Amino acid sequence: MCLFLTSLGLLPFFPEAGAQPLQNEAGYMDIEPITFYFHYGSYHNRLALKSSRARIWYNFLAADQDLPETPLFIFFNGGPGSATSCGLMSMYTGRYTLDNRIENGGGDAYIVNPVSWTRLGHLLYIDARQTGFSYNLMDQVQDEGKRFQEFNAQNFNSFFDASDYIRVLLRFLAAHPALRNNPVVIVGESYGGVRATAMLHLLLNYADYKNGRETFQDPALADEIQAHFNTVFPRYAGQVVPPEVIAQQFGHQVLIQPALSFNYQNETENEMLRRPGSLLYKIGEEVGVPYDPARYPDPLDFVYEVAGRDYYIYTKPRDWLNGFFNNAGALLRSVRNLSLVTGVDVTAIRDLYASSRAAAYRVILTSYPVSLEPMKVSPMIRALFVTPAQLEAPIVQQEPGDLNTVFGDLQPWDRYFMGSNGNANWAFHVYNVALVRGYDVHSWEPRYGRMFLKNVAHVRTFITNAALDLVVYTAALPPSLAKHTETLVSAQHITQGGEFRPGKIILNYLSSAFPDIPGLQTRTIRFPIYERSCHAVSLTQPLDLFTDVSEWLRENGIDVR
Amino acid sequence: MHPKSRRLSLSVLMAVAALVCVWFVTPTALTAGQKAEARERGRFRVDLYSGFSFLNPSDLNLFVDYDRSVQEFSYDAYFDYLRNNNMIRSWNKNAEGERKKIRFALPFGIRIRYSVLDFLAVSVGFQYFRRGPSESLNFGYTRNETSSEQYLESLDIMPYRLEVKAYCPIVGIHFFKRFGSVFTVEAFAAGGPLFAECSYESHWHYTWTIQGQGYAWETYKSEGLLQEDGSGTGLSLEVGGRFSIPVHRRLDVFIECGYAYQAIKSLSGSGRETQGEKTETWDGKWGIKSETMTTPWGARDLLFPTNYRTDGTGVGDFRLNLSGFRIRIGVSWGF
Repeated sequence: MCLFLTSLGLLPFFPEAGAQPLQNEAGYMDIEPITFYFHYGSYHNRLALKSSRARIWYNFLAADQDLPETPLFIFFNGGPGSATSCGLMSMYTGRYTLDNRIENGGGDAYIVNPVSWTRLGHLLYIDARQTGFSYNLMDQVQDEGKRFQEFNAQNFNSFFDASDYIRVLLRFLAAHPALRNNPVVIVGESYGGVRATAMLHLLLNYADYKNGRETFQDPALADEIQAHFNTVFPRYAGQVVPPEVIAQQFGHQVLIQPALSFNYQNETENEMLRRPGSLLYKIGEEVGVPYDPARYPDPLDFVYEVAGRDYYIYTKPRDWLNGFFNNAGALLRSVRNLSLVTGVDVTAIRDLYASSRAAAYRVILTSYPVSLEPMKVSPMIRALFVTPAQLEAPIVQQEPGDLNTVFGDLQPWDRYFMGSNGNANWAFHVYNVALVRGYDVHSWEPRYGRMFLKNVAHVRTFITNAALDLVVYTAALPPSLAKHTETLVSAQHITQGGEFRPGKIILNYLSSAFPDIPGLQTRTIRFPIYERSCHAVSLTQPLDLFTDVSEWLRENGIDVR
Repeated sequence: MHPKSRRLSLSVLMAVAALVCVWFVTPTALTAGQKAEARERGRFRVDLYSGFSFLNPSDLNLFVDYDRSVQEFSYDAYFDYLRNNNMIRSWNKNAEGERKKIRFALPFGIRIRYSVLDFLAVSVGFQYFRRGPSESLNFGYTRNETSSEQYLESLDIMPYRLEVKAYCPIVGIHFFKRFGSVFTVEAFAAGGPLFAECSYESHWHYTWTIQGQGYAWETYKSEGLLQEDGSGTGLSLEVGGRFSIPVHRRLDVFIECGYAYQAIKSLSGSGRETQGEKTETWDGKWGIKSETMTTPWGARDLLFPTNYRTDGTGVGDFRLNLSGFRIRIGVSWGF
């Protein structure tokens, strides 16, 4: 593929030094402890939480051409608890990438990406709290019991996770006045769909996250968003900015195999895959084990355990995609590779050094057994975070590379890099006091589907439809959105069209869907099919994704060249 | 007490008092000996008394209803929902202690009387009472999860306290009739300004522990405090009767019964709330707010008194009503 692209003249264009005022950057953004709360309508009975101090890793790649309206793409992967550095950052979006032609994890070196998204705009990659290179800080860090208590709702829940991203984004924009007014395109993969949904809902309805209308309340964030809007939309300085105005800056999202209303997606997926003639029957025929829904009640169990296939791409052997993530994680633990991919000399990043992180922690138990929990988990939970973390565990327990040589030996509970932090995963899903106290903020709840549908009223949306992905089985997405009967009349999947990779979802809203959006009737989501793609579409069909996103952005008011 | 009943009681008492006054002012012929004894006992008397005041500061007591309801909804109703939807296998609860409403107080007072006539005295005095028992509450909830684990949630509240405090300088008029040296009966009416304070305090500790075979992890713990104080000025009016008997040349013991109207219509004060490391303080007027808790397992409408942000709409009036029947015993020293 790389040679093919070279022959087409599609290799990235690198401007001459000095031609662009913005430089690549990598490093940490400090997030102070934040007090926020959940409530069900009773202020004095709220669940007040205070996060820990965090250093969030970001990497900024300046666009090949910096024009006044050049968009800023903000990238993130999912999990929750999974890193962006070994995901989208390493998979055909930045200037360097793993090699998708090498089956076993993408090779032992990064290669030049022929379809770098720096052609389209500036790129900002962010590793979520406690994932990738990001780390938290705490007092009495040597106390195992206290570290255990750190992995809970005060640091890990979908709303606060999204507010982390907004804080990093807004502070980054504030530090770069040249970018502050530019359009921002959110690019999220997998659980990143929930994160994008929560981020956009927080941004578009920010006042409701301070005035008590929403379950999650983060007054300091609402103030920070208002301060940003005071600068970007001076006409509204000091006033609540309407969502249609906010969408002038935060009005585009590209969602790669997203979780959006994941309980409904799961239900629909299971219904579809159990039907006679489904993909599971085809897989069963291929491996010589006929699929029987009665015998194999869980589709993912059948694919992984019985057929030995990768549920992220069912045509490949199991753990194929995780091999790429883990390989990227291993490669990024080298100063040379990390400097190459980030475009900066990482030895200048102070907070990477062991001497700067005496209070840092990444894991509960220093031996990192991934999960403290002995109970059996559902195949979907296992697919999304137990298996990735377990596969990665050996290189978390004993980190490869030269980072410790260059930056110093870390405390036993600290790590330089974690692709998928199993302890953080558990905190999102299980060890979470907000969930235990009944707040319906788990990332699979229908509330995120409703929030997504409200966002789409203002935000142009592009969603990939990867044919080979069974974890986020996007064929089930339109019918699962249609299950939001409180909001939609219908969600139609249009498979025909004039595009090279056609596909659309047409959402028909109930007139009563959102009283604060009068006249909302129909919205169209671009939903192209990627016949050869796994969950990580940018890895398996990079040029196609790049092309489709470029065209879609142009059609939707973003000036990309 | 219902407002209608309260009005009726007051009317009946006032009518009875008026009749009694008429009876008292009917001249009673004193013998020479009785007049001499009266002179010896003196025109001044000092009364010291204590007793029992029946109260129902219903607006303040709403705290108890509210807190019980919130806890029942947040735990019991929630766990029933989880069990009914097969999200947990079962649950149980242990409770020690109970939130208690204010129902009575033990007042004490002092009064100086001056006999103007043989059947009439006037008085000035001071009354005080305070009621604020400090409760210690412990609630333990055990959730048997669908796995083999148990989630143990404990909610300890110490102290849980509702308090009222009132004092009032009073002036009174007393109609009395002596029956020889055996006993004296009396009717009185008294009134004055009422200075009262109320407060609420709940200091809680929450712990969530996961327990499985061979392990118990304290997963999360937190604590919080909510404290709200109020004070205001109102009116105290009291009517009643008294029966006294002499136990010494100058010393009587007496028992008094009556009904007191004591109410304050406007209170304000400070508030403080701490959750985790964050403390918020405020000052405000007391009111009654309504709220609806809306959750996946249902909704519950609630009313509660507070002085937190009561300047908006939808806030009802808060009234500190300390009215009720009184019974007192005391001693009276003549000089």
